[in-house]
Amino acid sequence: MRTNEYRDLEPLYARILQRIVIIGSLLMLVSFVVYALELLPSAMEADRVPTVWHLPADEAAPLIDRPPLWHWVLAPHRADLLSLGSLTVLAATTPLGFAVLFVLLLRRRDFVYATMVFFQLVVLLLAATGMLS
Amino acid sequence: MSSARKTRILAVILLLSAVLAHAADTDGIAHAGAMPWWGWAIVLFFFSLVLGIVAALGGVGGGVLFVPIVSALFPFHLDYVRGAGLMVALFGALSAAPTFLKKRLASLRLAIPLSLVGSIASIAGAMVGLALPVYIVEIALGVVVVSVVALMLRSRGDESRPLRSPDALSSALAIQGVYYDERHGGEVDWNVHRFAVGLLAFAGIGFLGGVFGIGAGWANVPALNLMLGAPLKISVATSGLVISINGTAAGWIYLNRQAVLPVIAVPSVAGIMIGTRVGAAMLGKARPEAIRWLVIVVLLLAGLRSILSGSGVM
Repeated sequence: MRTNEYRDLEPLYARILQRIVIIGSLLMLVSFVVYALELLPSAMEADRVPTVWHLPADEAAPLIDRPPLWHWVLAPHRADLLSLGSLTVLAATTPLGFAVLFVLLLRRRDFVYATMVFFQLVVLLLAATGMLS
Repeated sequence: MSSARKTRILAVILLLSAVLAHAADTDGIAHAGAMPWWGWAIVLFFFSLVLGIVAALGGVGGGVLFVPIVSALFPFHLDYVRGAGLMVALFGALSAAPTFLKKRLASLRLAIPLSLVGSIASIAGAMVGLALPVYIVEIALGVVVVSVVALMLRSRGDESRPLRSPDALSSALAIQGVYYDERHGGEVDWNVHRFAVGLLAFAGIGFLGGVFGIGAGWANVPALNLMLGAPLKISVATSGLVISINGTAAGWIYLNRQAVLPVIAVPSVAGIMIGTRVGAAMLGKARPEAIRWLVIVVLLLAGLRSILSGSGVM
């Protein structure tokens, strides 16, 4: 028995993950420093977070005044949203990698796996858009 | 420095961090702001760093240690601990996956079907977990963590599994491969069997991972190795790949439900990521058996504490 592995796809997928994780990690650290040092304004500064971090997420949400997740793109001047946005960049790593995989699997006419990757993408995107929340 | 001494130092640091966190939380002074947020962030960073070292040396994921221990010792609501725990598990898996893929130990062909069912179940689990009352989640988390301890005590993993005939489903999906075994210096063929049962198992594991915000390496690896018959190295590496996909799905639910606070998540992720690398570097010199027992004792205490807290005894 020999291999049916994706000898070309796996290193490519690995490179995609690696690059996005490096970029996302740097963004995470830089935006956290901006948030922590209050270099930009926030709806809730870091030093006020201890007043809500013992509350359930549903109860704390109105106090934090956090708009829907993707609105951080529209409000880059808010440090708290920037810091959260950096985590969403990292959480977008797998969907981005799977989008590339989907195209490559279609090109090689591997329709069974392309279909599975497509449904996986749909699931991840539905979760990301907040429609499942 | 001897390995025994290193192990003792690690245990002392872990205990000191725990005592400091617990002492600061006494009488609710954390809520009143006796310690500034950045003090908590620093304690959490170093605590997560030590957890990362212990997790790497103990052969468990950071997430399964993080949630029960941090929820027991820090003043954060369980929602945010689970949100941070998922980020920890996700970024740990994302950091490790490229290396495993390049070494051809993680298999996309094996991971894609398992993570498809796992991620759907993981989203359902995250939604259920955020809707359940905290005391039920605490009791169930405690039961799961104590079960993990039982699994760690019983299961050692089987590296040298004989190659069996693959089942019809895994044959149809061509799930098989070959990897280079550095220890024995040769290529090893592998395949899987009972794949349909494996899909059901990964749906259940994904659900639990979503409910509790923990990575599921503790369950993925035995399921891949003992149930599906994949070699241990393939199981460990592919489990990481599955966690990186399932964790993403559940992570989005926690992010959208506003259960991720950067003040808690960022120091935790940074600490665990650095700690895991330090632990991996120490792996050759440390005493894995001593660390394994440390992990077992800490998990058992955290699990029992979670059950007692949820049932109102503590």
